[in-house]
Amino acid sequence: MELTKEQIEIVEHYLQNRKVEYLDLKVEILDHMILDIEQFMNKNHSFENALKMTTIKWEQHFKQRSSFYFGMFYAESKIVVDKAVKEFRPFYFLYLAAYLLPMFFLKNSAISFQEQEVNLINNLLLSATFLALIYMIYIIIKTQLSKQKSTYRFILKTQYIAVVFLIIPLLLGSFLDHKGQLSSIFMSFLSAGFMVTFICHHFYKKHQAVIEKYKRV
Amino acid sequence: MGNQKLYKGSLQTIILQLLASNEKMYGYEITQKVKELTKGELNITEGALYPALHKLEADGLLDVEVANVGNRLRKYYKLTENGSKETANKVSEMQEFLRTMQHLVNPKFSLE
Repeated sequence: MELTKEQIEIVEHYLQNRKVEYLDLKVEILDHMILDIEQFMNKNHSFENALKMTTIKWEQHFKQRSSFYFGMFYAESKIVVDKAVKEFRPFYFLYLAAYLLPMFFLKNSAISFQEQEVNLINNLLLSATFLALIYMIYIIIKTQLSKQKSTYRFILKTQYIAVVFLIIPLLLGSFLDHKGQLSSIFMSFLSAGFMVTFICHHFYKKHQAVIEKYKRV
Repeated sequence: MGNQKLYKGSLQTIILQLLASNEKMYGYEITQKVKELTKGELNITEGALYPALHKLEADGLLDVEVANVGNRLRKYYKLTENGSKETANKVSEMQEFLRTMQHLVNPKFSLE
């Protein structure tokens, strides 16, 4: 027995109430729930009963939770957070490495430049940081303006705060100290800032690909 | 039915193997196919299926295709090139595991 358009709308409304709005998950969950309901109805249950039994089964996956990887401020349905963690986990360790390795390396072996090179190196680093910041702002605006949500958009939202790694060195304006040595703290900031830009680029492309894939159908 | 935990570690291999022989499948179809093939012995819940599918997708072993099926959209999973290679590896690991288990639980008999 196939559900009518009105019955499908009731299931969609249920998912909307549970904040399952992420395109890449909503489509498969809606399809699975409809097939579950149809199976119950084939065993002579009414639509109302079948819906109730199906939602009881799914309810646990829609409970709000947060994750260590994104921070407690970013709570979403369990099924969304679980998928986001699977996508983001390898990048989290890259991010940590990008922050810690320059600090560790420069603390142990300082890199110094001669007086005439200091300005050139500093300006190069400042320009690269500025470009990365502009690109991050572009990604933030584009994803915020996008009406469609995907799990990748959720990941992106949790990373926006990391633009401080680009803003702080830009505001202070110098990556080298008075001896011409690269500052371990600012280089760590810069390295983490570039890594976050790369991570956001990766997930922005994935978000765009999801939107494109669903738009084509 | 009581040995669902024993199957848990093999779920990804089961999914990969099913997709290797079916080209593309959607979530519900996978649960039904497994139930049918195991005569109801293995019942994959959505709580186990989707995390496994999402992990395989995140690892680049599965690709997604979306199709219109009348009144709604349907998300199909299919193997990527890496997914096909990994299926062969995982199936061979599984066979090795089964041989070892056979020796352990029933040392008198051997498959060789």
